[in-house]
Amino acid sequence: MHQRASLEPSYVLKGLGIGDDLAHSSLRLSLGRWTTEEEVEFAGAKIIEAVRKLRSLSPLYDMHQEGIDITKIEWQAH
Amino acid sequence: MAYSDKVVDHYENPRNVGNFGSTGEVKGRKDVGVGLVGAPECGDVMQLQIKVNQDTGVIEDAKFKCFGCGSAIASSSLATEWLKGRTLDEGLSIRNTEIVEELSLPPVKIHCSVLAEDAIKAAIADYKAKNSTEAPQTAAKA
Repeated sequence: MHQRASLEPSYVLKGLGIGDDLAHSSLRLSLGRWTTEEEVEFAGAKIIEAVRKLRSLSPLYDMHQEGIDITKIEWQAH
Repeated sequence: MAYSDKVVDHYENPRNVGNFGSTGEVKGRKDVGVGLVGAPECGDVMQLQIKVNQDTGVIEDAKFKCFGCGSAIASSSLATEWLKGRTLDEGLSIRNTEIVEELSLPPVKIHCSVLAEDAIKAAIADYKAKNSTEAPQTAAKA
């Protein structure tokens, strides 16, 4: 569930030459000086759970599993 | 910006997730209409499949898969709930504004409801195309 002020993907990732589809699937994590290992483990477990759930909902992940090249599909941009 | 309770509920408990077969399988099924709309580059892709009673023209079952934000998932989940039990024409009468209202979508998420309406129309159009007498298709029987 990405939820930011702007729906545009990160200009930094785009500047690095990452395609829009991958840039839309990105997550930025920041660590602070007082972030503990326990917190990192906690966040990691939550993220894994969320990614599994989102993949189970995603038609693109199904296509990927079926061996369909999603870059070959004629998508209508909106 | 916060998601409404209804959006959160659909995200936590999405209704009718799935499909009636793999991409190849549903292509050959005349009782199933498939709508695939949106684009990965835009961050939203919805796939809506309807299973239609071919005698009555009533949508007996509907399933979705969605790549996108919580509002996109909620919009397509809601669409499957609303489609079940409707005729094709009744399905076509669903407007994105009704989805906006039901889910209290903010302006920045209205495109999610538009995409859901597009997915409904695409699935019904696919069903109709498969069952059109003008362009008969050789049904792939397994």
